[in-house]
Amino acid sequence: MNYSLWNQFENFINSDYEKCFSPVSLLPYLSLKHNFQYENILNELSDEYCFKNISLSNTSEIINDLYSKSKIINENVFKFVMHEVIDNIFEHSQFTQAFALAKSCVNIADYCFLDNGISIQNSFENKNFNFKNDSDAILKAINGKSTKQVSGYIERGYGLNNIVSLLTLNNNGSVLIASRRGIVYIDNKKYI
Amino acid sequence: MIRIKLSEEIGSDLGQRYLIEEIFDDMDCNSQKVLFDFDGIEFISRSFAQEYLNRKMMADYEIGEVNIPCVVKKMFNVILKNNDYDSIY
Repeated sequence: MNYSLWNQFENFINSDYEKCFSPVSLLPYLSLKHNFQYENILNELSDEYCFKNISLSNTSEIINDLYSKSKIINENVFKFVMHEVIDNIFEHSQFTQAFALAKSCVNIADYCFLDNGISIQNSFENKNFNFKNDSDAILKAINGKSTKQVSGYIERGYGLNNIVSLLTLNNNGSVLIASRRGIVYIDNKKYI
Repeated sequence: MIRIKLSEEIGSDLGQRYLIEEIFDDMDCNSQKVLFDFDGIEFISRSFAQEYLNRKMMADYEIGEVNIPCVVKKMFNVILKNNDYDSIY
């Protein structure tokens, strides 16, 4: 684990959380507070913007319901992000519990996703994909490494990359991804 | 020829990849041509669009589309032209 990155993450949360984040951004804060113990995090999350226990059959209904509650303006971006991340969770995570959150606050659209699945790193290890450390695995996932690539198909693996690009480059946003003991933060000026 | 109206099979939002996988997996393999009708579609996800185009390319029978809304056309172009999202959102 890269402790300096974790320290930067903790400083980032402590400095920016209170002044600019909407309530759903409690998630990374709670993740640190509870050392990524899923059940403890779940207990502290409000049901207001949460849809726990997402199932494959009700995804569209959940997303549309969440959109109407979230007050997020750009419906296409909202649906793009929601469908893509939830699809990834179902395809890769092998989770038993997952939830999605979204809210608009002072012109900031805020999305959070959490699942208790096997992690990006374990998914890579199951396919014998090499990576230097847990954060490197997240970067590789962003940059197109896919465990689902099938010969002859249009190249897969760029869903996460598309989300990051759409949010950071086209919409001036930022993305924070944590998996196992790795963490990556990206905005349109930097990544750590 | 088989005609599949996606809004009736799935709904106005074409979201999850598995939905189009199921339609292709359940399709009669003896069909010479399949026509997908996109009338009534309001949203298509990247995953759904990619899987649809993948399956279309791999199919050994003819696949066509009718009533393609602008949002679907744009997403197909995004998939086929290296993810140029400026043109869509």
